[in-house]
Amino acid sequence: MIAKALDDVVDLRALDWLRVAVGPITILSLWPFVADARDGRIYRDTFYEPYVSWYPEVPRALYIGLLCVGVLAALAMTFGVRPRAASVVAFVVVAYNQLLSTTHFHNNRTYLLIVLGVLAVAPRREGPAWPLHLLRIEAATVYGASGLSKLLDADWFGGRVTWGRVVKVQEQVPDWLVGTLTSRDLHTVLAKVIVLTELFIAVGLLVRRTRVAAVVVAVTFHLAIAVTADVQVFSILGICALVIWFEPGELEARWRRSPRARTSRC
Amino acid sequence: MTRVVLRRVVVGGVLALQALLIVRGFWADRPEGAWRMFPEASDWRADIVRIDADGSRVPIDDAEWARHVQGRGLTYPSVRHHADAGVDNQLALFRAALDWYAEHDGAVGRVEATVTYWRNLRAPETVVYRSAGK
Repeated sequence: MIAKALDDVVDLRALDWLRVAVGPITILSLWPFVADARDGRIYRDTFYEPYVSWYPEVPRALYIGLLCVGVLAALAMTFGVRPRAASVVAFVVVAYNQLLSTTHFHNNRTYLLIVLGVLAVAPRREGPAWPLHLLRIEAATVYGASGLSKLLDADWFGGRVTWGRVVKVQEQVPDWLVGTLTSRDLHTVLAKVIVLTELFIAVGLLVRRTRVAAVVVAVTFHLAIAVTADVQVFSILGICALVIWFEPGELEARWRRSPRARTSRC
Repeated sequence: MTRVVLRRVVVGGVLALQALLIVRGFWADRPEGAWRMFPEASDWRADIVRIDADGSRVPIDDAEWARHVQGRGLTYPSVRHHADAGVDNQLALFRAALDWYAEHDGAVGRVEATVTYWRNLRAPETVVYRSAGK
């Protein structure tokens, strides 16, 4: 049954919508490397650590050229210029750059790489469902694995980690709020809320009946993270990727049935 | 038919790899692909010295260190600061950076670091790392 679900031909326009949004996110992700290159620096001018010794490293000018090609490909994805081929190019450039050094690793870049990989193989508009299902499983896994790791970590689930993070920045917190925000009791509860939120998003997205609620919680969760931590493109990518949980045909049918649509037809 | 089989192999392969990375994340110093976000509230700092061929110990300050090592929380080792993605991840990167520094600073000998870390703000612990010789 699962195998059949992978082969069913489905509407893939949600991935096309995601492709438009992922273009600027790819540029944002590549930009620190481009900015360094503009200042005359590339990754190997200071400490870097290849994952494997045999990984090919290209001459300096070619590396900078690759970054530029990646940016152009990302623009092409957004503006619909050969978007699928552009997705392949953007994926190759981002993957090559990410695998150059362990210092390039970030969870947000890995998530972007997975999204680009799926967009690179997904047909436009209609095709077999497997890229959509694969990305949905990966997207749910991001929340699920994160929540599970915190659930199994006594320091995290007990509130010590969130408490410690607030204690370290308490100078930036208004005096009247410090006592409350550094209370261990608050973090004992807050940590459990965070863990359960992540796990709810993971499971809620996979279950059709709770999907809309999970999307709303996920958006709120990402906005909260964006405000309280530096996570590069993770929040914006996380929010944009939620589009894959909607079925364009269903949305259109609902729109046609809605009073606003009837009014606009008049 | 070949296409259908290929699809299933790709999907199965990706999911198996993902499961492996998540399981690996529970013990690996650097849990790439395990989606461990904000894992700790730990801090660390380090005092670094070069041990010359004659055994003399010359301190390396942050400015000198930063000529060769930057980013990922490694730029100012003498200052107590947040451990990037947890102490184990940060110190694994730091050990690799120590080897890199010893190899690229143009001097002969080893580099030694006395590292103090506070795992989730508990009492400090100290470890000493020494680079590979040159």
